[in-house]
This record gives sequence, structure tokens and C-alpha cells, in this order.
Amino acid sequence: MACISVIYAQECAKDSLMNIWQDDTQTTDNRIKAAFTLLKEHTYGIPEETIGLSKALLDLAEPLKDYQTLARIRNIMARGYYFQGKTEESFKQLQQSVDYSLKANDIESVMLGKLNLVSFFKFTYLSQDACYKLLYEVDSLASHSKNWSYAADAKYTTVLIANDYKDYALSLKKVGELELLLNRSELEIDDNNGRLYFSAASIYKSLGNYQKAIDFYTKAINAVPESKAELKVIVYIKRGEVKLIKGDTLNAVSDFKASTNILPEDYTNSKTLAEENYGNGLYLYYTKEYSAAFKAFDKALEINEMSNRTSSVTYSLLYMSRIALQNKAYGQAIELCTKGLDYIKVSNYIEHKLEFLKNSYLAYKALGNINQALSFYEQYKALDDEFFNEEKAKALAKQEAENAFALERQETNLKYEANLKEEQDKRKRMIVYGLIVLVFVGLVFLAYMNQRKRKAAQREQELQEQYTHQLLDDIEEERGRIAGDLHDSVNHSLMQLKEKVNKSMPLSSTEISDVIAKVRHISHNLSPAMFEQIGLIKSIEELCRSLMETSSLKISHQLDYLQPLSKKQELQVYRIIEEAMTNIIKHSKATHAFLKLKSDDAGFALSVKDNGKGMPPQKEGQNTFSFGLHSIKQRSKAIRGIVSFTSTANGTEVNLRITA
Amino acid sequence: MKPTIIIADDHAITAKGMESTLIELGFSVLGNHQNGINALNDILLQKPDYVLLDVRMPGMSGLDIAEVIKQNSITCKVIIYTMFTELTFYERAKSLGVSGYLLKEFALEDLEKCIKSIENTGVWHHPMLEQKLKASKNVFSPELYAKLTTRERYVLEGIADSKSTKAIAEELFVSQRTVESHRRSIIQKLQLPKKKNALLMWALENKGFFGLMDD
Repeated sequence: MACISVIYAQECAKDSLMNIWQDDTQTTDNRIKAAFTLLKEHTYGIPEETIGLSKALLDLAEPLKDYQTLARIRNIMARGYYFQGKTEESFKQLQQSVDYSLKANDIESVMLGKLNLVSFFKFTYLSQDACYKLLYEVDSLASHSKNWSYAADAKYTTVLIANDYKDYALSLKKVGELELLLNRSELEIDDNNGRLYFSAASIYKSLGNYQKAIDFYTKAINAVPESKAELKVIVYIKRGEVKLIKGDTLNAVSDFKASTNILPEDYTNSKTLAEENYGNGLYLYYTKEYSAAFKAFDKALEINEMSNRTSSVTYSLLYMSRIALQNKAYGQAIELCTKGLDYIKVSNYIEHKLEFLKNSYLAYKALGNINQALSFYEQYKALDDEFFNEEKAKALAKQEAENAFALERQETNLKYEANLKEEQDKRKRMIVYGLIVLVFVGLVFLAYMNQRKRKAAQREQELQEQYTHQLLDDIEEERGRIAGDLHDSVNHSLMQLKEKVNKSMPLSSTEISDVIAKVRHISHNLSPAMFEQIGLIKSIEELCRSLMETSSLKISHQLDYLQPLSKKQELQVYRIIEEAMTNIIKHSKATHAFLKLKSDDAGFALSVKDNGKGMPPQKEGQNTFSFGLHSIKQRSKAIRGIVSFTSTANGTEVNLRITA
Repeated sequence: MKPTIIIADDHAITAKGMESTLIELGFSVLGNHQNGINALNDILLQKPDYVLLDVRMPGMSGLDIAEVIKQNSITCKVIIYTMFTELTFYERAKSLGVSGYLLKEFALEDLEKCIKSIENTGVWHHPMLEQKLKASKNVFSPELYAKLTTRERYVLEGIADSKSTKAIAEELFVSQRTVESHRRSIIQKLQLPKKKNALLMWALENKGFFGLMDD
């Protein structure tokens, strides 16, 4: 869908472009401006389209000698060529773009052009030194024009390249500069701080300082204005990824979730749409919605492939291959890995390559294709060793550079301290005023919190009362039901029998059997037959049998009851199972359920799983959800058990644990 | 010689009903007890040809009495009669080798049939319980399922999705013969009857369980 909407939007854009050209009443200047705006919106679209649009626009703008516009068009065109794989053409256009921008004195465009030159051609047409030179120029221009985000971008890119060439002294120097820059940016708040913080976070991530990276991603999220939705999407995904590295899956998931709620409905930039789908995929993947995640990654992949962004596709492919493996769709996994390995020839992203090799190996192994499996395992092992050694060498070099840098930094700090002192004096005064305001705000805040707390306590109590009422209501309801059952079915049948006896009509045995069955049913519901005598396990077996007789649910169980519970606990466990099963039959639409009970020295564990549609999502403070769940919670509390509910679209699982 | 019998049932009315029916059938009723312990003592003392035992009784349950009878190798035919249709009781009764198993609801009608059958073949159990027992044996067993290898589970899922042997073989990059041998192994491990389509029927019935089993 997303791809279709991209194409559709681009079709529309082309149409509009044509309209503007053919509108002779407009000045050429206006026509170009309108067309350029349209082109800019599709910078990240399909390369062919972008190039086509730019070429047409260039033809129109060239005679006017408007170098600023020409430079910007060429910049966009260069991007198109780059993603089309025509690197030479792209390089040429970018250089020209920089030249034109210089002529037009358009500093931002100069910086953009140079940054693009470096990021596109750092490993092909440009030497290490040429890259450094370009970046240095961008950095100086940015600092002069106080465009801090470009300055940060330049420093970040320098760090990346320096790391790649193992030039850690330079990389650390740039980090130091960046930190100073960040200190300044706090004084000069600006719309571009978002990008600045984003770059800082990326640097810290590349240095392995994840906590700082997360802090700066968070700052970036707060600083990015609503209008720059695309940046927000990426920052959320990146922050989530770092949290994943730190093992904080729970918060990572909420970041991925956040990344999917940002873009407006009618958004068309395919790059960001791909990213959003990727974020959605991550969210689904880490919430274990594998099939939905697979679809989302597939969508991201499709959009990226359409726009020829080969460097982005491996991310989706990686997760897709993981899911395929998990689903035991080994053929598919192999297909995905092969594709991924093909793309990696371009991007050469070792970590991805490693996993594709590993996944290929696992898939072939699972399929029993030993030869292929071995071949992939050997490739994986060789690359892994190489990677590991390289990482080790890198870490050593880094440590050395760090030691050297610490000394240098002390000196630099002394110099900067003098400069900072004046600024600090100014800041101190500000701080005193600030503190007064802060104390006031703090007091107001405290009062507010206090009130909120009181409200929360009140709400808690209300909820508790509601539950109690519900419990009482339910007891009443139960009594009413029993009375109703007795009256409606048993009493009614007995009256009929009495009538027949009075009239000396013949009585059939089935009529009486019917009454007997009704009574048995009611009494069984009230108290399971001889629970005391036959014990928990037999009672559970009987319960399952009887449920299977009266419903279409199929139940299987595995009961390892080595360490018995107390009689009191047993009865509650039985009731919990009964409740869980009733919920499954009533609400889940499940066809199968599995009950597992294990009780040994390690403790007691019960799990009831079904393959139904899952529980409806629960809203906070809402207590209209099934009384069954509440009753399960109350019962497990009463026997010091811990109960948890896991629900997905593929079913629900109730887990009860009692520690020994 | 009239056959002798002792009745144990704490419900006086049903016990009376049974007693008169038994007398009609030509039995000599030696005792009619409402307490399990009294009944057992009487049985040990008089050694009747038959005993008719309710399950739930004060003092001692009918099944416990049957167990003592079995342990002491007393040659008397045990008939259990109860209102419980739960298999738990029936299974225990079967393991104790009782001759008759009546459901109270139908006891008066079934009693004659039951006695005749015991005289001829030695045994009569209410057919509903036998049916129930058979049905419960057909239930999916996680223990047997756990014995399947990953490969076999994959094949099983394919069968449950109504895929042909050929299709499964292609998916796994193996020959059809290999898949056939997996099928045989599955049938053996799951202890399925050697009937046509038994595996397919089983797979269709139980495929909902596959996803619920632990990895």
C-alpha cells in the first residue's frame, strides 16, 4: 500500500509539474520555484523519477543562471544517480552543485554538497585526506555561520571515517570538540538542535558509550520540532536499537512503537515510509508478533528495493531471515539470506554478513543439507574470526589513542577554561534568577503532585470497592442462577412428572433421567464431585473430560504433580483452572487448549494456553473486563501465587506460580 | 441353591428397590448395609456369591471394599453401582477387576442384564462408561508428541495443512521416500492405529495443539 501511495503521489507531482510549466500566466521564476518544491519533496523517491524531474527542471532553470536553484537541483539529481548506481555521474553532478553554490554564495548548499560528496564517495573517489579536508571546510563554514547541526554532522562524519581508518586520535579530538559544541548549544537554542543531538548520539553509539547515546537521542526527540516528523521516526528507531543493545527490550519496544505513530496519514517520502515500516517491524518482532513483523519488514524491503536503496535493505532482510528460521520455513530463510548476502557485496556490512551466513548455516542444517551447512559454517567462522581480531585490534588502538588524548585534552581544557570563565559568570547570575523561579515552580509542582497522589489513592480505593461490589454481585448472581436452575429446570420437570402421576399417565424413564442429569449438573457446578477423595489431578482430568463433552474445545494436559500443595491451595488451583477454561470457552473462540502443571521441589507452576483470538486490549482504570480474570487474580493472591496473563492475536496464556 | 448377595448402599430407598428386584431374580439377600465397614465385615464373615456396592458410603467406600476383597482373594463377584459417571471411579473399579458396573440411574433396568452377562461371560459394565473411556484414550498426548523430532514435526504440520507427500518433500529438499519414512516413524511414535488415513485424521484433529506445545 505504502509503495502504491508513493507512486501515486509521484504521479500527481509530475502532473502538477506539467501544469505549472504549461501555465504561461505564471512567471518563469514562479514556475521553477513551484516545481523545485515538488522535486525537493521527492528527493528520496524512485531514482529514475527523481532524475527525470531534475533534468526537466534543469532545462528550464539553466537559461536563468540562478545558481542557487541550479546547485540544489543538481544536488538532488546526484542523489538520484547515486542510488541508481551511476556513481561517476553522481560525483560529477555533486561537484558541479558545490561550484554553483559557491558562485551563489549559498553556504548551506555548499555544506550539503560537500557532506554528500564525503558520505557517498568516502571509499571510492575520495582519499582519506580529501574527506578530512572537505569535512574540515564544512565544519569551518558551519561554525562561522553558527549552523551547529552542520558542524556536528561534519564532526560526526569525521569520527566515522577516522574510526574506519583506525585514526582514533582524530576521532577522539572530534568528540571533544563536539562536547564543547553541545555545551554551547544549550545557550543558543535553535530549531536544528535535534539534528545536532542526533549526530552526538550517533557518535556515542559508535564509540560504545550507549548510556550517553540514549541520553542524546532523548534530547534529540525533545528538540525535533513536530514539523520534522521524518527525523523523529529515525531517532526513535535508533534509540530503540541502542536500548536493545543494552538489553532493555521492554523500553526498546515502546520506542519502536512510538516510531510508528508519528507520520501523518498522507505522508509520501518513501525513505521515511520504509523506515517507519522497519520500525513497525521491530516493534512487532520484539512483541513476538512474528508473522505481522515479517509483513512489515517485507514492506520496508519492498519500498527500499523500489528506490534502489541497497544499503538499507539488509536490515529488513536480516530480521526476515530470523523470523523465517523461527517459523521453520528454512527454504524461505535460505532465499532471504542469499538475497541479503548479494546486497552485502555492495554495502559490505560485516555484522549483517555474519548473521546471514549463520542463518544460512542453521537453515541448511535444519534441512539436513550437511554439505551446504558446512560450507556456510566455514565461511561464517572465518569471517567471525577475522571480525573478532579486527575488533580486538581496534579496541587496542582506541585505548592507546584515548590515553594520548587524555593528556592533550587537559591542555585544551585549560585554554577553554579561560574562555568559559566569563561565560560562566554570566551563567551564574542567570542561575540565581533561575533558582528563584525554580523554587517557586517546585512548590507549585509539589502541591500538584500531592493532590495527584491523593486522587490516585482515592481511585485505588474506588477500584477496590468496585471489585468487592463485583464479587458480591457475582455471588448474588451465582445464587440467583442456582435458584433459577432449580426452579426452571428441576422444579418444572418434577411438576410435570407429578401431573402425570396424578393423572395416572405412564412415566418414561428418560423423563426421570433428565431430572437426574439436571440435578447432577447443578451439584457438580457447586462442588466438584468428591474433590477431597480423588484429589487435584483426577479432578482436573475429570474437569477436562466433562468440558470436552459439553463444548467443542479440545483439551490436552500434562500433569507432573510430584510435590503436593495444601488442600486449600489445591482447591483454589482447581477453581483457577476452571475459571481459565470457562474464559477460553466463552470468549476466546479457541479450538484447542493445553494445560500444563508441574509441581516439584522448585515450586508449583501452572500454564493454560489456548489458540484463540487473545484478550481484548485492556484500558487503564477500566474494570469491565471479564470477572473471570479478576477472580483468578484474587484466588492466586489468596494462595500466595503469582499469576500473569500473556495475550496475543494467536492466543492467551495464563501462568500461575507458587514458590516452594 | 439360590445365589447369595450382600448389598451396601447408604440410600435406604434405592437399597430397598435393589433388594426386591434381586429377590424377584431369585437371589437370597444375606444383608443390606448402610455403612461400608459393617458391609465389609459381613462380607468377610458370610462370603456371599455376589456383593452389590455403592461407591460413596459412610465408613468406607465401595471401591475400598472391592480392594480388600481382591487383596484377600475372596471369591465373590463384585458389582459396583453408583451415580457417578466420572471415569476416575470406573478406571479404579476396572483395575480392581470388578464383575459388574451399574449406573444408579439405570440400575433397576440393567440389573438382570448384568447378572445374566456375569453368569455367562463373567463381566458386564455399563456401555456408556466404556465409550467414555475409549474417547478419553484418543486425546492428544503431549508426552508422545514430545518424542517427535523437529523434522517429523515439520512433516506433521505439512500433513495437517493437507499438503501432499510430494509437496512436503519439495519443501524439505528430500525425496518422497524420506518423507514416507518420517510418516511411518510418526505413526509409530504416536501409537496410531494402522488404519488408512489414521495419521491425516489425527493431524487434522490435533493441529491446534502443535503451536501450544513447549519448544
